[in-house]
Amino acid sequence: MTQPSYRIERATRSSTIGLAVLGLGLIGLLLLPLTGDRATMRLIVEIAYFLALAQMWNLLAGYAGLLSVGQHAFIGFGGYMLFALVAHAGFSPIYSLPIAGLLSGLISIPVAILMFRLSGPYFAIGTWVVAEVFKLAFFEVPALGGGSGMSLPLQAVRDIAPSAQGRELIIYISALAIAVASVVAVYALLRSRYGLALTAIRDSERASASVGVDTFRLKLGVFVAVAAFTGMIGALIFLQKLRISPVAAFDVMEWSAAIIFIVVIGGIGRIEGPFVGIAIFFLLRETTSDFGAWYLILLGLLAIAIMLFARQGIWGLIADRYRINVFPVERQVHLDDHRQRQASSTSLTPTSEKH
Amino acid sequence: MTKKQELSRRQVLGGLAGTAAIPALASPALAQNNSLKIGFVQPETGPLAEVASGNAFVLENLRQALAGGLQVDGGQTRNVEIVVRDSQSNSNRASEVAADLILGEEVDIMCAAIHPLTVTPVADQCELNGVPLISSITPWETQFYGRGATDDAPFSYQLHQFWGFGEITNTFIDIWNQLDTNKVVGGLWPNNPDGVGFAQGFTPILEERGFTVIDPGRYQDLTDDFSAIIRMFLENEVEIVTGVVLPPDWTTFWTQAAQQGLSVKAATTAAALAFPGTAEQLGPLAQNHSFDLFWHPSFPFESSVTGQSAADYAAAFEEQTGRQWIQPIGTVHSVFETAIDALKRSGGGDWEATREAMFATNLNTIQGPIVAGSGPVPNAVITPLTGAQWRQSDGPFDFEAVIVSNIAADGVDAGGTVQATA
Repeated sequence: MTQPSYRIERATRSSTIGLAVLGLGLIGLLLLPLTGDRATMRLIVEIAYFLALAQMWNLLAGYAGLLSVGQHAFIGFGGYMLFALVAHAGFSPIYSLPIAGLLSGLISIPVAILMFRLSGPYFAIGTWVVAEVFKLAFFEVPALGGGSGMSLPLQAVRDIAPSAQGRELIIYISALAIAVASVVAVYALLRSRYGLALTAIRDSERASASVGVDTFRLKLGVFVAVAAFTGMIGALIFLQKLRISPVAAFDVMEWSAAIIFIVVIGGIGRIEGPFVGIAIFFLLRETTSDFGAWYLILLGLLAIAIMLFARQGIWGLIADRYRINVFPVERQVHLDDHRQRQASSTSLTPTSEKH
Repeated sequence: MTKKQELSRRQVLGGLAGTAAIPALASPALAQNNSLKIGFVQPETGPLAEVASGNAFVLENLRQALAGGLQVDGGQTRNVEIVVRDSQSNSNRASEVAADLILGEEVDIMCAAIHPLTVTPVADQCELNGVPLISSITPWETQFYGRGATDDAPFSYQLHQFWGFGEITNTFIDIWNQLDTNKVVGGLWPNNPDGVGFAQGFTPILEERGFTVIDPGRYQDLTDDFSAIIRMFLENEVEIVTGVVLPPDWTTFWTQAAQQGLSVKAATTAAALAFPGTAEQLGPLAQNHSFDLFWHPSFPFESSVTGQSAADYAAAFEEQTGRQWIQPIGTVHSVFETAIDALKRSGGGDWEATREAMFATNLNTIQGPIVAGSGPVPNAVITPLTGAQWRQSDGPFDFEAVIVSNIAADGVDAGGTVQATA
């Protein structure tokens, strides 16, 4: 008997097509400024930063198993760092974005060391408490406006570019860059050997620890990296808003609840999930947000329905039904024996262990 | 195979062309030749919704008056459209909808009212994008110093018409000086934009005028226990309580104060009981509670748009809504008066022309005269502020607002003198 020959593949036909479509979409978005439609550009900026936030939370909760409901701590912190750097250190707003991210990453290290002592629901509640503590702390900083908040010095914003169009173009490109970077970073991480370890943690933390995965170090690394990225996105958000206050910066409904909604609806533990979640969230918002409280009730009902009947989210339904996959992070073994052309994969779908 | 590829390429190109065409169709370039657009951001929902609850009437009344268009300088008659957006009492949302009105709707002038949470983000967006803004219903200092302007570097695009801390402090002191007290004032200033501003603004002026200020520090909104603060007021023999308090917090404080034996001669607040609805909820405990009143049907002014007097305007409100008049309706109406007048004089030109017209405003409105350049800073015009007390009434409504101080309201008559709280 001869050894069956086999090859290991990652790209599938669906992933090639999917990535091509996304690439074309990105080119389309890069051409959008030519139309001069500033309102749509602003909407795309918002979609871009929500996508990046959702990718980060998905990495954190969907892969590393760190179910944080307090990511708005880093959004607000990053936003405040932007204001501090611009107003008090005289930095340019654009250069302040990565520095704000770096500072958010730094502050997340003591937070992580404290929070990792908690597990499960206690960890979730703990992260929320951290966000509340951040909020209360910024109430007490008069240099950053205390409870009333502060406006970004408009001169600094005007210095980004001489014209309003130029300014918005730079912010637009920065937002697209952050969104693309978030997707590429998560994709690259998951395809690396750390990705394999993270996928193992996702499916069972205890089992992965038993086969030699350093779960603490890996989770710490992910937590800090996600905090840094989230802080940078927070800085971008408040560069758009021009004004920050503790209540606006550390708003659980506006940030964490929306992000969790997007990821859960789209499909947790899959890179495609946040894309689908974003599409649904913004479609609903643009069409029904004028109904006030009913809009929020609708979002809540949808989230409950998905959690009850489609735990893998909408992308989970699609992917399982049609076996498609835009970002192939798992290796597939193809046996070259024609009689059994079936593909087996290391972990096509998240297991149900965590439910 | 080749055929299939061609088809998909065509589809892709068609799709791209489609996305490019949508924004072109949505562009308001054509409509702008006919209609003038006034943007308006207000907290229609959220914690401040009550303050904006009369604005539906204000807008309906204005839309009727403008139904035939507006004759602008130069002779053209232009339609006027008011585009309203809800800030949800949330500054993030206010910033977002203001940008949408500027970039998406391309409004000719912006209006914003009620609380720094709504007005400040709108003002920041207008200033950055060069859009003229008329704003009101927040002390002018929050819009000027609170947003980082200085006397040497004012803002270029905002005209704010309201009173400031000087007016409200003088009015409150005038109320207290009509009573015989030990001049010890307890301050209820929460840790929110209003509370921080009022605490900083009030304390030095009160001390200069011979009052002792007992300040327990900034408390968090929606506190359920005021006993530490009440004990501090009792120990210091506070006879006057003031502050800028959320209505539910005032109810909590006032009931707990009664339980713990704190009885004061004057309870004078901003925000807490500024509306008849909240006074009714408190019942007899609201009797003689004093507050800042910036518009009243007895104001001797009339609208430049509809010609209605303040009394007629309040009567129309009560008839159409079946509710008692509330003070913001006159103030919000006058914001639109100023905006319409600026559009009229600019001939409906671009933002710069309207901005210049706005800073040349000299108009008599239902809120009083608005003369640009007459205020303490270039961006602010001071409008009349009175002090009033709630008195139980036999009339159609439970409580009536009686003006007891007109020290900061030129031309407005008082309706009575101050009475001590029970």
